[in-house]
Amino acid sequence: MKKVYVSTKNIKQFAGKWVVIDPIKDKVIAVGDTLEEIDSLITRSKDDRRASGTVPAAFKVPRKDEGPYILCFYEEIAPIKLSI
Amino acid sequence: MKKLLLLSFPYKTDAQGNSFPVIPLSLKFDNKKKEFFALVDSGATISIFRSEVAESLGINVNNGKETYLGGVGGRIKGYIHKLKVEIAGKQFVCPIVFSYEYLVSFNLLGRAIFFEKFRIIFEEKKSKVILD
Repeated sequence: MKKVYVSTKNIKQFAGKWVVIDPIKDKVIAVGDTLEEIDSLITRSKDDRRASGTVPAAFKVPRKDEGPYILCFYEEIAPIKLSI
Repeated sequence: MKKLLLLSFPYKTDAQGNSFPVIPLSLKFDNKKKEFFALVDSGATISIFRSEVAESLGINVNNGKETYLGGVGGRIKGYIHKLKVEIAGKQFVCPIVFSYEYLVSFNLLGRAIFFEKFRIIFEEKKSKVILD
């Protein structure tokens, strides 16, 4: 894992990598080849009451050869019981 | 003290400069709580995340309910799990499919349960998504 401090506007330099984004500052603060490498920065204690979206979170930057996307999934067999 | 909440999220860009409505969320399992970003996808019936996300939470992917998901690119096998999710200050249980065959970089937040919890506004001109 490498610590960085880069605007998310320049995120494309991390194509194919897992990054940690600070959503308040809108900055990439760390980069790794695997999710495991950055795991410590996105893990919180169960008692941490800060709201999601205000703490660093993991994002896998799409590879350069990925996309455009047509994401259209449907449930094909074995109906899902969605009532929880 | 009032809790800080973000309800408006700027789009994130990919390597080609295309922008996408991606939002932060917490996933909770056992005593673990981890933070991820996922793409808000109204075209997806159900949420689907990469298998390493499950593994980081200590979830055995194959222990979920087996299902097949179809799209324009064919079909993939996945396993449905019900996880505690926190998004924009709201906590709820959401079905999430984890799949070893899902190789797209984005985790997807699909319609099941998640879309019932919010009014979702895509501000395409301003490149942001708002959860109300």
